[in-house]
Amino acid sequence: MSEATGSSDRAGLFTATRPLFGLVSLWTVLAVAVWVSTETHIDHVDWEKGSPVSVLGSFLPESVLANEWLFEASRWVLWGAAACWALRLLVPFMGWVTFGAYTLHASMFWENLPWFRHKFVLPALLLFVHAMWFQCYRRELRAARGDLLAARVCPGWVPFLGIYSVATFYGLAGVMKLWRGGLAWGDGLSLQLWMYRFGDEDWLLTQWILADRRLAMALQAGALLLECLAFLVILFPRTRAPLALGLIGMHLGIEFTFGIPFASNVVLVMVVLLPWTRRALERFEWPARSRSAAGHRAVVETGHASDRG
Amino acid sequence: MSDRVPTPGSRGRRAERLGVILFCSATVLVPLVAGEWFPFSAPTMFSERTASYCHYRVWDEDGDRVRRSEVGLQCNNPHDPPLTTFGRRGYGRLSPETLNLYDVEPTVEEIREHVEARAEGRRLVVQRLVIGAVDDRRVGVVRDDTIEVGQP
Repeated sequence: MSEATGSSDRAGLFTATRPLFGLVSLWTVLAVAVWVSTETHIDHVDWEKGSPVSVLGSFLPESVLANEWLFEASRWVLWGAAACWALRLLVPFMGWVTFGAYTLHASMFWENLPWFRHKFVLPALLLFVHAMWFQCYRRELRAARGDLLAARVCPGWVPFLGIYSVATFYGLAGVMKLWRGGLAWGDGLSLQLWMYRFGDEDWLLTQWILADRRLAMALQAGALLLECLAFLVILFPRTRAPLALGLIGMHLGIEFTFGIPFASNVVLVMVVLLPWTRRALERFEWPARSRSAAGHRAVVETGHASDRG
Repeated sequence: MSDRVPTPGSRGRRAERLGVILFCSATVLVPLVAGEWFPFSAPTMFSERTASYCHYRVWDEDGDRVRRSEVGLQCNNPHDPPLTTFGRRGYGRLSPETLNLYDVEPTVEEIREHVEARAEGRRLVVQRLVIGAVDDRRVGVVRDDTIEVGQP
């Protein structure tokens, strides 16, 4: 681990650091939220309603959940609020509007699907984390306007909860596989059957997996191990790079063989979990070190930065 | 970077700490208890351990292919197991009924009855391929049935 990462990892959850990484992760999450919202639709409203699959779906009536106008409105509100938030206009209010619009839009999408779309989960969690950041540090962010990159306005829990969200998302996927299939889940047979059913036979990997159960078992058990080990990234920073690369490789393999796109999750893993992104941004901050002290003093002297007791 | 020093004064305001603790707890506990409850999720994609499935093909008496969904033999969802928590069943929308489920190998008679009920008087031919392990290395067709549906 480099000195840069080491120092930022050692900084406490409630210790504020400069916000460049937090802002880059915010912009990435906003871009991903807007991106995945372009892939939504309500196509199955004439099918019988099943069970509520979202928090909002447990309270809102079916007529609201299937309302096309509200669905489109929530998409446009999401895009507008995300743009405002990215530019730090009307914050923290726009942060919560973005989170609310995204959650409503994705919930309506899920409530009208005869399956699930898990790539909508991580952006929701990360939007909440960043909205909470802008809520808790609203005074500091306002005070630092004009010299934001030099001010210490990003608490350690923002990157930590980002990593935590990624870790629990993948870790729980591993737990669910163990829960339903036991250790034998990774025996390679089911992977071969899924490949046989809807794998892309033009891909060499698909052909190799279909031809050899030992390879299928190695890949399937490896994916299970990778997902279960994802919890380690919460406490052990050294595991983040190898596990992030493993998860990215797993997603690319799934996309090329099964044609199931998870590129949005790949982007989030690269920015939130892969430590190289953060290290690069921390190096980028170095030239501002001399300004940092002045900016930090300015924030503190306004009386807004140190009012947390 | 050595300039990451703690900001003067504690930032551990009670609401902030509470928010962090609640977030960490909810994102793990809610999925474990409830399963899918967006934005909480226990991603169950590909979590079932499949040992076999059936592949169906259907033709009418002119030899034209008939869509599997017309006779309830379509594959509704190849990788997401249905919800089963808190009395919930299935998904946000219920898929049309089908015999095409993982690890379910209906008898020829069950297939005939199921298709006949949806054939609207047509004479149909159904081919059912059971796909599973053919040996200890490969998967493939382990059984092939041809079923005629409807009166001649």
